[in-house]
Amino acid sequence: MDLVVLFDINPHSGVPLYRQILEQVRRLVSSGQLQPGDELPSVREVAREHAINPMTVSRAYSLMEAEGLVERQRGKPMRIRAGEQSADDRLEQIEALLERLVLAARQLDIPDQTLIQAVSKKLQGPKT
Amino acid sequence: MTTAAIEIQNLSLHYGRQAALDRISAEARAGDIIGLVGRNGAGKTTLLEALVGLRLADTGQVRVLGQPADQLNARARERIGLVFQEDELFDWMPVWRHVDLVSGFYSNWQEDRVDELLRSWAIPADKRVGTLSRGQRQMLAIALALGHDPEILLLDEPVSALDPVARRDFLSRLVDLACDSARTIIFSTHLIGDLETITNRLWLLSRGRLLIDGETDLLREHTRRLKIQARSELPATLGLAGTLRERIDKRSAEVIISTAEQPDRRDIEARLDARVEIEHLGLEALCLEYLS
Repeated sequence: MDLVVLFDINPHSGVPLYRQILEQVRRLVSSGQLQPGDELPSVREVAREHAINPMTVSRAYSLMEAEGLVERQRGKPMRIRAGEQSADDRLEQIEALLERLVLAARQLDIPDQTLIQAVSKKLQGPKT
Repeated sequence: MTTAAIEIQNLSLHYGRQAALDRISAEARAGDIIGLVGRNGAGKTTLLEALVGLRLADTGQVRVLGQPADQLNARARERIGLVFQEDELFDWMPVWRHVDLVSGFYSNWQEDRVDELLRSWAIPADKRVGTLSRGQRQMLAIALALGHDPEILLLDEPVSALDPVARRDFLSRLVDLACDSARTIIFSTHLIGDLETITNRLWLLSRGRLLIDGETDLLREHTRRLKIQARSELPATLGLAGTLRERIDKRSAEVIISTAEQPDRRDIEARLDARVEIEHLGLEALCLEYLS
């Protein structure tokens, strides 16, 4: 998988760029598209490909390291660490989606209870 | 590296009685790509000129590479590259001759780099400078400023005459330069969209004052727009933490806030008896908020 190209950076979204990179790696890891031991592209590669400030990419990588998502290897690219993510960590990853859902529901004047019922119904439906 | 490449301390500068720069303090470090924004007449050009000693401070001081900006020695000057709005190119000279002329001023001139830039930007070497288009002329000035591989690069609206493709290419070049080694790049622009990805800091000037000096990522993260729709008339001021601006019209309001902590929507909703939507502001919207 070519991660350099795979990152989808949207400069105008208002979401900080380092957070976009961080969240995408998190998602790829939890979906299993990135496996423990897989190497990340270098800061420079990502910066050059997307014309992003290298310090921004570097900040994303440092945060991933601090979170235990990736590990630095001496003189080699960062790689994905082995390890299970907690349920809380996984839930946090869909926080933004939940926010959007709630926002849209409020704009459409859908009562909270109706929304909760709709979500429950989805959850009971066939697993996708 | 801990020392700042550029240090500005309490810099003020007047044109007559008009303050062009008003008590500005800031630092630019190695590795910084700083976007300098502001309306026309805000002081952007004056600030860039003051950084290299082309304008003298009334009070305060600027140090560049550890030296006072108005007393830079030849070695320090070799480490700085400039592109100003009014280029100092000679119209009657062919491009190749101009490159030759400028190269003579620098001991570390990189002929290959300049040739490569001119070729990739399709600037004909045999044409006289005066016959180039505005965009080509701007690119020539940029290529010349990069020829001695400067550590500090100051660019005053470098992309104003470039078409979108050339602009994108130029911005990639800046990132390339920043990846090569830790440089300090400051460039002013009205095209705030260009700053979204490549800068790590933003300086926003308004009437000579530095209103924002911050990391672009944190500015994005901390600045939010709240849209409020209340069930009854709202008070004259909502008193939300970190309010930059609020517009209140009877039962609806729009508030821009800047806080490190995420605002508690439920709390605000309960307090104002209102529905609240919260969204992050992009850099462009944020600048417009400050500038308008």
